[in-house]
Amino acid sequence: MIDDPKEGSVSDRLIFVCSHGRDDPERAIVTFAAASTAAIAGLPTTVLCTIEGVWLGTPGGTDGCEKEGLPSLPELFENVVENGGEVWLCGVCTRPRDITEDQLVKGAKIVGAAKVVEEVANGAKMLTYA
Amino acid sequence: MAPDEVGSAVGAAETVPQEAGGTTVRYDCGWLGCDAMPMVVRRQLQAVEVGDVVEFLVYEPSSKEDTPSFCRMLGHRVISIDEQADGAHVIRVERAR
Repeated sequence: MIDDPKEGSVSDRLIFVCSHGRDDPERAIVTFAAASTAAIAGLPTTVLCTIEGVWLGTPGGTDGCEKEGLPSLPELFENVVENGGEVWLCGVCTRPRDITEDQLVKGAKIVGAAKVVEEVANGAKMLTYA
Repeated sequence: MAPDEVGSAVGAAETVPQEAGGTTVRYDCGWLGCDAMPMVVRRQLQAVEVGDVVEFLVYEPSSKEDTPSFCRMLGHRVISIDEQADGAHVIRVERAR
């Protein structure tokens, strides 16, 4: 049986919204920098990737997402995941891009709106950082 | 399994009596995504009596995550979530209100 949160459980998760990837690396990098900080601090952390940001959860998806003077996005991504953070990919956004669950990197999974809404309704905080 | 492969029949429903009374309705959600899933799930749960169980068969990745969340938000009880060999999730939900 698959583990699932129980009814009425309180969420203290921080959800960082990332709607960009290669199309605007700076916005992706600063979001993951903030999420990395939260994950390293031991807080329940999720990066919610939408629109072009969903590519970040696929192999090679962070390639080319760089900007001079800013930290490495692949390293920030790894920091998030290695410290227990999760990367959620918007299902509405993955479908037209033909991204399926068998082609995701470690720590990434495809979710829909109800998953996010339930977390927020239970107390999670959403942060738009870029 | 990909969305265009055989293996699910969206909307197919089957009603099975429970030993302890009540019924279990099996409903195949196929590849419905999070845009369509909420209305379908709500309708199915509204169509049964309180205490009855609806068993959703879900293939779409986002709906695997969403269906339990959505049912809890409606105030119903998620009894179990099991993964089939073909990757689909079977999500059993009791109508609680």
